[in-house]
Amino acid sequence: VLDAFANLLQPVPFLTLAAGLVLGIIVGALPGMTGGVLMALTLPFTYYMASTNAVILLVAMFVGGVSGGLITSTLMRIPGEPASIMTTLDGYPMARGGRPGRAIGLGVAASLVGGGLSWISLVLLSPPLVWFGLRFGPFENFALVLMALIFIASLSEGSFLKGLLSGVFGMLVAMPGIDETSGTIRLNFGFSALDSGFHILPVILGLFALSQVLADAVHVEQTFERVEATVSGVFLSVRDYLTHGVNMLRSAVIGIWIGILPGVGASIASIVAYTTAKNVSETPERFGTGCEEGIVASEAANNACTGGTLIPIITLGIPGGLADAILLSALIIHNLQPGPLLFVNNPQVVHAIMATHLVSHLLMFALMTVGCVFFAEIMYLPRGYVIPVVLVSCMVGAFAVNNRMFDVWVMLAFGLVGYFMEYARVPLAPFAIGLILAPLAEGQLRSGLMASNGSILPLVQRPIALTFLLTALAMSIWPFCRDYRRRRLERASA
Amino acid sequence: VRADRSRRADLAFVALCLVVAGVTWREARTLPAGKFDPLGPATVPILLCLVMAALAGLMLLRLAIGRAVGHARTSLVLGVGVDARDLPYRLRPGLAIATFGLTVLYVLAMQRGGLGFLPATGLFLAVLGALLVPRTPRAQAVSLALALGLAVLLDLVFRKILIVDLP
Repeated sequence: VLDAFANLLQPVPFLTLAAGLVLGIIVGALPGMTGGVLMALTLPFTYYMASTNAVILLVAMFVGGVSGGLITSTLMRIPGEPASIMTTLDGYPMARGGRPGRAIGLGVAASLVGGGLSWISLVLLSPPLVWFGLRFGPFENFALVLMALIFIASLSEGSFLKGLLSGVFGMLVAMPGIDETSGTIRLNFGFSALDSGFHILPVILGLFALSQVLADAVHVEQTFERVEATVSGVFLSVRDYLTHGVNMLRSAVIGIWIGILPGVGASIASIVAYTTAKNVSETPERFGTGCEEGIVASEAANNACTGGTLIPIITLGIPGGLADAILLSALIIHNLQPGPLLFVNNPQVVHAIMATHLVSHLLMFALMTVGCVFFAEIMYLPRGYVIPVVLVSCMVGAFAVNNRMFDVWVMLAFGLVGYFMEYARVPLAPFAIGLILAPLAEGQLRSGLMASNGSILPLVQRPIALTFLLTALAMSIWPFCRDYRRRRLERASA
Repeated sequence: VRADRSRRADLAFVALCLVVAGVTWREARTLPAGKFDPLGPATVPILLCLVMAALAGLMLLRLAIGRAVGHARTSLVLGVGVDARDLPYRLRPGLAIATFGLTVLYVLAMQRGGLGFLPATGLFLAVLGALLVPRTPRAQAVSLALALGLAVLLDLVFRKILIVDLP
């Protein structure tokens, strides 16, 4: 890990990190654009970078994106990122009350503490999980992927059925192309362009970037209530840190834990931490009126989530959300095998992820403390100027994958699919994760079956695989039990 | 009105899933059996189609008997499906359609029209910018200048720095 820190101080990696972080903060601060969109747009261009630098860039963007949302939430009452939604409740009233610097200062400090604590968890929890993961065979890996998909569908969103359908849809989109086990070209529907299947990148670009641009075009006339940013009060004293220490620690632990769970994400972490802080506060009535504890809880939790969410991806190869899915795609593009073997075969990449996570938080603290006024000005950039540039970047990004227009058409088609699914309130994260994990799940199942002469029994005979399957089963039943219980309670109270 | 719209969207999503599952299942049935492994290339796609059709059927059943199917509580694409009555400004769905249509024309111009990246991008940015920015002379002039400047800049960045073999 120390080598990774030393490497980060070299000019190219450091500039890559700084550029990723600044872009992440800017995009996180722009209303209607998210860090995930930026990562999706950047992904095709990481082809031309060394794998370590590509990972540094994407992790820095991830941290910057989550952190940048604070500025918009505080000064415009609009969460620049979904993860900043709770910051809006207290950040904006505090800014309107004449203390915008103080609101941003509290948020940035809490983000640093949350991010720092989540880095410690990333470093401490990853090795034991890797040790565990290295004991997995094909059946365990298959059961793990199955469990992760069901977990994501059942935990993350409001509709289990829609989540499952979205995940299966994503898996089905991953099926066309060359079957790696038999070498057969399958599901090309008579189009030779589909012989190699749908590449992940145009699909992800369409689903998340193009659909976001279309949504932004609908809201092009949106106007913002504006509060001027000032640096007055942005620097916190040691006493401030001590006053909010317990809240920061508690919210960070919540963020880390929720980050580790697949599919739950920073927005839920921020909601849970905010609600917990309100529940334990001696003055809960102040929440929502510009309360310092509210800003601290929300920002500590959403940044802590960034470290937590990296744990399953680098230890087990299971992405928990969009940013993870994009990071996983970057690893696959660079011929790196995600999961426990990444630690064995490419430790420099794992260490680069860890080092970037911490350094990005430290740099984010410095940049956002000193440059909050600059970032605040950028967020007023009219959407009419941003949308066309993002569209051209989407087009070039999709084209650059294989230098062919077919991928651009794929991107356009999945842009419509993504927009429609979002309109129908179908969660998109299970789709992306199903798309990425389906080839892995199928490959593991088929190699396991070949090793067991076609017997499926090892799935229930091997304790770890069985545990994963039973957990998946329990998670499948749980939403129905929860709904049934809720209906009974509603009937009883009526 | 909102419930109706949500129900129509759910039905359309079910229909999409059933069509995708049906078409894929039909294609997967034509695949040969596996020579070396017990499953072969067809089994997993067929299984996925069946699961998708079953889940879509279950959703359809719930919709038919008036039971809630729920909806995603968090969103990865911001601002989709927002009700215009909740907002202090006008929604412009027509602009989204125009944006998508112009993007299709932009891609076609390069693929079929023989237009290079630089002129096509300049034209695309200028037309789309004119549609999206306010109709004041100043905003339109800024947009046009930006379009031309950005076209050159993007061409330079993608072609020379990121070495993308652009059309």
